[in-house]
Amino acid sequence: MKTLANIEKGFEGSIVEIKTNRDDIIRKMMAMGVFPGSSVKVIQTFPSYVFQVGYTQIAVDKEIADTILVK
Amino acid sequence: MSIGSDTIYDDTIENAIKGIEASLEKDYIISKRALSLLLLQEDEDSLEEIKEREKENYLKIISIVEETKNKYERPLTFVISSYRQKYAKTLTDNVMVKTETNKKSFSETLDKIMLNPITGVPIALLVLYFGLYKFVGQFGAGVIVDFLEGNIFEAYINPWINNILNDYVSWEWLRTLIGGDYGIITLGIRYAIAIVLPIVGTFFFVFSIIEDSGYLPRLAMLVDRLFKKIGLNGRAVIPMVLGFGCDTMATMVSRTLETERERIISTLLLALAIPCSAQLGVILSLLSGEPKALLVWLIFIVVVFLFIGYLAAKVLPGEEPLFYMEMPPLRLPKLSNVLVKTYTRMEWYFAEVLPLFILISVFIWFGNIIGIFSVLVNIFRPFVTAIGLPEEVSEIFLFGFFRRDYGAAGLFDLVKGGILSARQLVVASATLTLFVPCVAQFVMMIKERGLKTAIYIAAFVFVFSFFAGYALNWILITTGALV
Repeated sequence: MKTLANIEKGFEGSIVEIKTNRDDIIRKMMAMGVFPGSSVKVIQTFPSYVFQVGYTQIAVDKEIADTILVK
Repeated sequence: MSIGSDTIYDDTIENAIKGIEASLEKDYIISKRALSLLLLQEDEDSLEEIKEREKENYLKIISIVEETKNKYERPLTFVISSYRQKYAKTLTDNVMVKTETNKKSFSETLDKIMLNPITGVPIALLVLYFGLYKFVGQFGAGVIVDFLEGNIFEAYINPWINNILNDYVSWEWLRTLIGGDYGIITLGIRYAIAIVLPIVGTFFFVFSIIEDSGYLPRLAMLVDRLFKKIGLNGRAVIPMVLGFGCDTMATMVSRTLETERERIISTLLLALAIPCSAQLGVILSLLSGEPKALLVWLIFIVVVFLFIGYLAAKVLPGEEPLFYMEMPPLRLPKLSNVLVKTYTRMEWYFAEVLPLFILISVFIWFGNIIGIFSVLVNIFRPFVTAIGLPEEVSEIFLFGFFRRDYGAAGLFDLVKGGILSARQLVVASATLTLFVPCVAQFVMMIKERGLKTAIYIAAFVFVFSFFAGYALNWILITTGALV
C-alpha cells in the first residue's frame, strides 16, 4: 500500500486510510477535512508534502505523510 | 431542513447524545447537544468541566461515552467528523456548482514557483532582501531616520530644548534630566521617535503585506525540514520572522506553538540570535558601507542560530514536533488592510516603547548622579575589552541591557564619531545582536515561560554572547579576514 510519503508528485487518487495510533494526528487531519474516501492530488513532495483535498491545500511533514494511505 | 437536524449522525450516536443531554442538569454556555458531542469526542476541557459541575451524573455520562466508543472500531472523533463531512457535502452539493477551467491563473503559477524549493528559496531570499534590507534597512533606518534625526532633532528640537533649559532653568539636575546627552527629550524621545519608530513602522508595513498575501504558510513549508533539525517545525517561522520586527511581540506569539519544548527553543533563539528591526535597521545601515563586514556578521548570526538551536533540540527532552498547515490561496493584499494593521501595530508598539525609553533616560540620569551607572559600566568594561573593543562600547552594552535597539542606536552614535575599525564594528554588532534581550522582552519571557526558564535563558545568552564575541574576534584576527 502506498502512502503520501512514497508517491510521486502529480499523483491523483483517493485516501484509503489514516493509519496511526496517534490521536493528535487523526484529530488534525479530521479538522482539515482529510478523510478516507476523499480524492487527493499530490502537489509537492519536497521539502515537505503538499496535497489538495477538496478545495483545501495542506502541507504536512514526512511523519504525517507516512500515515496517509492512498490508492 | 435545518442545520442540527437529526439526520447528521447514525442512531447509536444520536441515542448517546440524547442520553447525555438528559443527564446534564446544569446550564452551559454552549447547547447541551454541542456539549454532548464534545464529550463523546473526549474533549478534555469539556470532561473537566462536567466532572466539576455534574457531580451526580458524571459517572453515568462517562459510561455512555465508553459504551458508545466500544461500538465503533475507529475513534469517535473520526466517526463524528466523517458524518459531519458527509452532511456538509450534501449541503454544498445542493448549492454549489463547480466549473472546471484548464487555464492556469497567475496566482496558481506563482504558487507553484513559491512551493518548489529550487525557485522558492531564491524567492524567500528576494523577499527578505527587498523587504528587510532595502525597505526597512535602507529606506526606514537610512533615509527616514537620517531625516528625522539630522533634519528635525539635531537641527531644531535638541538645540531649541537646550537653549530654553540654559536660559530659564538654573538647576543643573533638571537641565540634565530633560536635555543634554542623556535627557528625556534629547535622548529618550529622540531615540523612540527618530530611530526606532521609522524602523518598526517600515517593518510592520512589510510584514502586513507578507502576512496578507498568504506567503507565510509557504515559507513555513519550505523551512520545515531545516527547522526540524533545531527542534522546531515550519510553523515557528511566523514568530521567527515576527522577531525581526520586535522580539518582544514574537516571544508573546511563540505561545501559538504546540509544545512547551518548541516554545522554550523559540524563546531562546529569539532572545539570542534574532535581531529586532530596530537593531537590524541600525546594524544594517552601519555595516552596509563594509560589504565584507556585513557578510561576516550575517554568517556568524546564522551559524549561531542553527548551532544553538541544534544543541537545544538535543538537550531538551520531549517529542519531535509535527508539521501540518493549511495553505490559503495567494491573494493580492489590500492596501487599506495593510495600512490599518501597520497602524495598529505601531500604536501598540509606541504605547509600549515610549514610556520605557523615557524611563531609561531617567534611570541613566539618576544612575549618573549617584554613580551606579559608572559602576555597571566598569563591570562590563573587562568583558568589552576582552573581545577587542574600545572601552566606550561598555556604555552601549549597558544601554543594550535596557533595550537592544537602544544599544544598537548608541552604536550608531559611536560610529559617526569614527572610533571603530571594521573588525571592531562586526564584533560589536554581533555581540550586541546576541546580547541579553531588552527589558521588555525579558519581562515577556518571564510572563510567557516563567521566572526560572527566563532567568536560565537570560544567563545563558549573557555568557554566550561574550564568549561568541571573543571567538569571533579571535577568528577575525587569526585569519586576518577583517582588520
